[in-house]
Amino acid sequence: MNEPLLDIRRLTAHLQIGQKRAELLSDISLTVHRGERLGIVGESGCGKSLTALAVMGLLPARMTLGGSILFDGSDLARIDEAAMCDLRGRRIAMVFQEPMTALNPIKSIGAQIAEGIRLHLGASRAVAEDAVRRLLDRVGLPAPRFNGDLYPHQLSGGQRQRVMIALALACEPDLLIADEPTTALDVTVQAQILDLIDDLVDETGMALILITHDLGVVSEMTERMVVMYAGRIVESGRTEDVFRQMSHPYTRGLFSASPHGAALVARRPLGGPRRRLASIPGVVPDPTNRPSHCAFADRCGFAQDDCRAAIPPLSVLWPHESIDHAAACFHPQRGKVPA
Amino acid sequence: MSTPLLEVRNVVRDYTLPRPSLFSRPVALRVLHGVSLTLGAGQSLGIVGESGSGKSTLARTVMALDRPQEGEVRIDGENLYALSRTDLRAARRKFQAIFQDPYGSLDPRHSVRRIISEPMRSLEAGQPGTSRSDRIGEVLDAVGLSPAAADKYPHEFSGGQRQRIAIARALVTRPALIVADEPVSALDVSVQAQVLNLMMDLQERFNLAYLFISHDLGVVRVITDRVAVIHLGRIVEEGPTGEVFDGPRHPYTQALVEAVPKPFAGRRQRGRSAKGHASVAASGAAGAGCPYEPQCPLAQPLCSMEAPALRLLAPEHSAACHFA
Repeated sequence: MNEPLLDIRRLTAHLQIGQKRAELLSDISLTVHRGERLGIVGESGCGKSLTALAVMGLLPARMTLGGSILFDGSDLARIDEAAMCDLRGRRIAMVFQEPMTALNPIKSIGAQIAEGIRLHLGASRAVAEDAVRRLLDRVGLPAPRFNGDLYPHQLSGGQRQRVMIALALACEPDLLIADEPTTALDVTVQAQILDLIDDLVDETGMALILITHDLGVVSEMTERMVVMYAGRIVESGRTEDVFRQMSHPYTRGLFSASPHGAALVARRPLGGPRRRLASIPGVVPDPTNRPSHCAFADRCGFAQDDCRAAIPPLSVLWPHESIDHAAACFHPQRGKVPA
Repeated sequence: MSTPLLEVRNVVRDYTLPRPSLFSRPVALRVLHGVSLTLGAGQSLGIVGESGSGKSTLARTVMALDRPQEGEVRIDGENLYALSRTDLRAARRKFQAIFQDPYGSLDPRHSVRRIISEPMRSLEAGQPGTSRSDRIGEVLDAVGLSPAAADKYPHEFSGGQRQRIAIARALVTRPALIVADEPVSALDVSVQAQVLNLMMDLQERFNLAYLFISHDLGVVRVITDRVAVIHLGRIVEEGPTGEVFDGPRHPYTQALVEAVPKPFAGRRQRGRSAKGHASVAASGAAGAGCPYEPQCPLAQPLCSMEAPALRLLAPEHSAACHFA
């Protein structure tokens, strides 16, 4: 196998809050190859966005990083800000969740898209203008209705997200990180934006990291996925394998709790009691107070004594079957999820 | 059948847009084009549609917060917009709301006790204080919070717990109808499931009716009996939830159902929608034809000439399409 484009090894991040130490990311290891689509799934506070920000070098300075983030040979956890500036926007680009706040309201969209092209590629104003026109066409904002002189407030949410994507693509990055790119959008617009990202990955051969809380989006968009819980990866593997056999109880819980899962089962008989969702009891442990055993044990229906004794490592589930599917659980589940 | 709990008849709501110049006539944008609905006691009706479709305006109209230009809203047979101020105040006990943002909808400077007692103080003047505090205990218990929660402040709670407080506040006047505008959209999946389960428990226990507004079809499917799909201020399809989602008849509903990403669907292989997204502003100058015609993949010449009316296709299932 050739070198992965991005190779995160044992990444940790913590924050000192007075006397308390918040362990935000623990032991995150993942790889992304060129042209590959990786999904990161989890609930708010699980560390999925932090992982992305760590790759982008956008974490606050007072957060301490450990481990390494190898991007095409250089360790992003160690390089200085000037070197990071050369990569950021040029080779690694990010699409943020909130297209309303991520764009600058007082600069035209053309100027915002052209900024990277002028800065990183040293293009002249005229060349940059042509590039902006091409990018707007590509992301589905055709002339004459749309041009670079528009301001973000003149666009709808879906259109702004298209501008964000054009901006991220401007320098033809090797890695695109999309952090919940469609969460704020309507379903039909979401489908258009996902189609667009999907086509662009096919066309350019860039790698995609798609961060989402929606299992449906991961299933449709990615080849491999990792599930995060409380700052750790709890399950990883090829998307198909993970969906065929969700092994970590948290992955299963997440799936059963989501209304999509419930929608698969037959509807209730008329007048009968309404079927309840299988919710996960309790809440995610506070990052300043994470247990020294499996962080999911207190919410887990399968927890046993060993779960409250140590943190289960992420280990390959079926070593004999050479399937790239791992879970961090002492008692991984087998079989399909009972919906 | 006797009078339904909620009856919305031909509601039309226009908003006046800012005038383009000082001397031009004010321009009105029609947000609701004659919407009618009924909802029986103990039932739940979902309203789905995209942003700008008029879902929240409909909720405000039902809550007697936004007077419609035409049409009426009846709760227990009483037309809300014909009531005097005092009578409306008394009627408000029967319907309460839960909003989307559990952070913005609770006053951070008020204790939970004060937040929950607010509806009683403003709608039920002259009740003794002891019965009030009993009722606060009751509703906190009903939503699964401890009595000690009454003396805390909203910032001490998580998003899911705050939504429980909002539900407790809605329950305290013992309403028959709760209008829930995207109540779980801001919550994480596992917490969302807890809140939805709670809402189902409460519905059975107190025989509540829900008008449940959401853009998330999965959530609507779980909690509602019937669903109305709204597109640019018109109901385009209405029927039993399972039937509408499994066999959508209107092309817009089909597009919505199709657009939801589904687990186990494998990599994306759906037909790419060629037609763009019509903006709401464009609908202001709607012609005589079907408002969905510009986006509709099945549009025929008839569609641009005549707007289809909502018609019954199967018992209790209707759609507004010539070809449904």
